[in-house]
Amino acid sequence: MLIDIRDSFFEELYKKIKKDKKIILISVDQGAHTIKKIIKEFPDNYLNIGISEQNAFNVATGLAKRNFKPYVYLISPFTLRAIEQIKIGLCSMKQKVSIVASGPGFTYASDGPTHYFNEDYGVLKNFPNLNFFCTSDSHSAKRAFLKSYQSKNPSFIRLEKGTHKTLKKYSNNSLNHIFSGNDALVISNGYISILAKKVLDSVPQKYKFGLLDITQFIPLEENMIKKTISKYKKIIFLDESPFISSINKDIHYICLNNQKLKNLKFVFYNTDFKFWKVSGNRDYLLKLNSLDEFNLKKNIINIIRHK
Amino acid sequence: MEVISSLMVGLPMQFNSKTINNLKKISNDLRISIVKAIFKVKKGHIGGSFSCLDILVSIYHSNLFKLRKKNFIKKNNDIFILSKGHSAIALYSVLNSIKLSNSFDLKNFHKQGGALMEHPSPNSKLPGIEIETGSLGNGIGIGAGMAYVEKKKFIIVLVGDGELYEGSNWEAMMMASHYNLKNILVIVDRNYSITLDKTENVIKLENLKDKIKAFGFETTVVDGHNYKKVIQNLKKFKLKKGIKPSCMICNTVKGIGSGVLEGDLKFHHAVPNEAEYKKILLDLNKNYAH
Repeated sequence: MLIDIRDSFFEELYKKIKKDKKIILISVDQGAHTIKKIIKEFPDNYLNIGISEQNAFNVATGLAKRNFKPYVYLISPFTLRAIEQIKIGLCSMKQKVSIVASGPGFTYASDGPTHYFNEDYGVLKNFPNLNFFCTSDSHSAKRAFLKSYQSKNPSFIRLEKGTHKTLKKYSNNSLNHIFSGNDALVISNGYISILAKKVLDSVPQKYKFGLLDITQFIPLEENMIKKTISKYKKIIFLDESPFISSINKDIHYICLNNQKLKNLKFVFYNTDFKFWKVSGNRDYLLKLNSLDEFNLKKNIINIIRHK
Repeated sequence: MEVISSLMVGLPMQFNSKTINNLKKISNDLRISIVKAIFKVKKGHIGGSFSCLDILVSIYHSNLFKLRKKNFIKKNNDIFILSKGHSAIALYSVLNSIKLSNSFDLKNFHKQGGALMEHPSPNSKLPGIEIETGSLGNGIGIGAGMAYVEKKKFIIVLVGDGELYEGSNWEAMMMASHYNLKNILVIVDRNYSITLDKTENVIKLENLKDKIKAFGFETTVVDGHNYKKVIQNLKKFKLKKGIKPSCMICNTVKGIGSGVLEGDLKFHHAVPNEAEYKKILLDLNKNYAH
């Protein structure tokens, strides 16, 4: 049965609250189907703090200082409202607070530019101690919860929404090597991994692509990435972020500093570094950035054709 | 660095003139140690440290709360948060005066590689420093989080009045009031000044009492240099039966204790020159002589 990515995450949280009453879900007035049963069965472990991001993270810091395990659930772009509280209260003071940020990239495209958050990684990677998890399907959402729960550090969880067929069976690894191939390796994350899989499933069988879905940006498993990439000659990076804020920029940097990898062919497809002020849904905004299914297919095949 | 000669362990809070004089002497000695430390390292916020010092002495020397060494087991202690982090030197001096840790000796203030920074940061060597502050407006929210899960502990948060320009304070006050966090006390060091001007010239904070009251706090206004009044209100907070969170607005004077400092805005963070320094010490020594 297909399950919404958010519900997959909160289902794990629900199961864990049954055993661990130190978990407190702080909602910045943000809902999800599974949260209803958390509120009903564990009202003491739920707090709707209202639309007040700075206070949400300050309160969470206070809870964590008293050995509770807060999860702050909010609409992703509004994380920016509380960057100082995240930097100081969570990261500098190293408090175990998890940020559950719903709707990355252009998820809320139809709500307009205030609701886009393509630069989350670019902003948050600057703060030491913070884990950064990325979700593409219900499996990676489950993994993100379990890893954040196990970690002693604060975590940012980029939580996708929607119902998609899972990319592969559940894996505990931070790198999800969906399939292998000889022609090129596609590296992506989040919703773009879902699109990439659809595209690669539909290309003519003579083309053999690998697909690597990254579910954890920080800490990044560099050795595993290098090992995977070393099996290919061409690397195609896809990301719903501008290059300057993209995990792919950092992976590329790792490759350039490696004798065996620096001469590979690298191709990047990112969102443009600009404010998008146009009406449309997520797929439309991705199309404007050549990251929709049609353009991805066309461009990926062209890369293989032009050896 | 100066050793606080009048150190008291366990003040009986009977307000006779001897008790008050003892507290005054502690504060005066601490002001001398603060100005010496700042003059030595040529860095520090004298004005706001002096304005809140009597409040800090009242909190820590009244024995009303579990904040002293003999009670200081992290799990069981009450909690004090210095939200106006720029007055850290005042807190260090008071924690040193109750002998919480040798690390609070002001000879370590701004020492290269040391822990006593201009603004406080938690460190295993610094018991009693709960929160990293210096960016303003976060203490009440963090305190509210603690008060929410630690109903049997007392949480005291000291904020500056200028700090109240930060909207996050009001978010936190709304929340504390909604959840009836009667175990939190917000103390406002109302010295009417920010770095460049008087608060009422910049953006009016008045009527501050009505504003905070409107956010659901039981609010009182006292003279922040009157130990008797401050301690009476601390006691009232501790014994309170109501459900509302509390706020004590303490009217204070920035740089109190020396005519050189009082009323001069530059001493928010300016370091006195040699002549000013000598005059400040003279003033402080005179105060004690009286």
